[in-house]
Amino acid sequence: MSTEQAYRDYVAGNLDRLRRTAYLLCGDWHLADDLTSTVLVKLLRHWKRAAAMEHRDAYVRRMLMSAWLDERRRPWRRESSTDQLPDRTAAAADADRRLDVLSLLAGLPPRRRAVLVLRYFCDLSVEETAQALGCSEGTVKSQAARALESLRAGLEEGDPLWI
Amino acid sequence: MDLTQAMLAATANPPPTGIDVDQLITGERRRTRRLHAVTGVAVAAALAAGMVALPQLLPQKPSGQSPGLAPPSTVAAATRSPAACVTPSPTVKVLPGANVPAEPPLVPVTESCGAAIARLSAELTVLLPRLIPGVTFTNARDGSPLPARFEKVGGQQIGYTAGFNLPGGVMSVRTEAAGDIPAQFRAFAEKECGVPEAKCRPATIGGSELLIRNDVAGGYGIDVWAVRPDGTTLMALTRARDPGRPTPVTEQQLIDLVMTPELTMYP
Repeated sequence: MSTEQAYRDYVAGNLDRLRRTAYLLCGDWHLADDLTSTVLVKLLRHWKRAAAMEHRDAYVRRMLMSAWLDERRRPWRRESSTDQLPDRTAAAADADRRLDVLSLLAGLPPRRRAVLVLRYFCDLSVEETAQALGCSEGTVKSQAARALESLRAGLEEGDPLWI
Repeated sequence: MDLTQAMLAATANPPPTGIDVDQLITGERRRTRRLHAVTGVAVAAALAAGMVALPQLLPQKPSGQSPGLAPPSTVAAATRSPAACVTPSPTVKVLPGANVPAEPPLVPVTESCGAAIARLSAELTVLLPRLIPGVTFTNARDGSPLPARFEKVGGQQIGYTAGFNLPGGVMSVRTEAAGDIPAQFRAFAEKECGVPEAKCRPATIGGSELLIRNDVAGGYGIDVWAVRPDGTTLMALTRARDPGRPTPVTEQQLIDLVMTPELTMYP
């Protein structure tokens, strides 16, 4: 199989998962596509190295986390003033719950949000999460605990999202 | 509902993606090509700057001759055949296309090194005043006047090179046994010149394929490469000694030189 074909196969099999993870991190599908594209381009540049890796998914996850944290560090991201509200379409049934979990995640600092997404959506262990974020296991545990505490503070007991 | 289920539900219905893998791959290829082109131009500029600066950095000769590309007069002895058949030190290599990978010649070379150097030197000595009249050439090796002195090129290739100091700049000629047929070189030249940064153009003259690169090295140099149907690759370059000054040899004169049938590897 050619190098390019192997890359295409990998992308075809993982694009959806990457987009969803990026969406949970940023809460916007357009930005999620941008983050995913950034990761895929970087992966293409380093494909020879990545193709030989045993834990390629972990490598890609780490690139996604870096891309997301870099994105948040850009100064122009801190401003979001507008004189017109964007139109939002919501599929009625799960919209409230979806907005709930996204708005709760949006209230967290980027690194804590990343910890929750990796632990509860990607189903990673503490050790794997620490590797993906490039920090210690103790940091992951404390960040996760504080993130969950912040989420609980935004919910009432008995809420469907009560953890 | 726990957090995992809530997250799965939140991403349950993603909109269609706008990511096009083909476009990503094409864009990355384009970026890589540009990077290579810019790197090539930078390397060529560095080489040209080195070539122009080197003669000025070398010590002045006691006889009052202008400084040459090679220092001490002891080197002069090394240029005479059969010593000229010894692969020279890379520090005195004066040639365009130094980055051409060594490939086995398509047509085997039967002429001995000593005979080829004598023949090519004699031919070039006659050709230079005819094609580039009114210019005083001195051999870059030792600052001696004509006759021209070819020497064997370094590396794996079978070929010979001669370098000259001229008023206002330098010039070199290199002839080699080609590893490509003209059509292959044409494809290479079109690819090489496909990006605007390369500042070069391919050309076809009488069955020979040429790559002409001018404005190299910040605007004071010209390179001409030719792959000829007889199996010879000829390269000629010139550089002005000072940036912004005209080159001592014109592009057309270099083209005439590389198209000369006498400078062949297969007499």
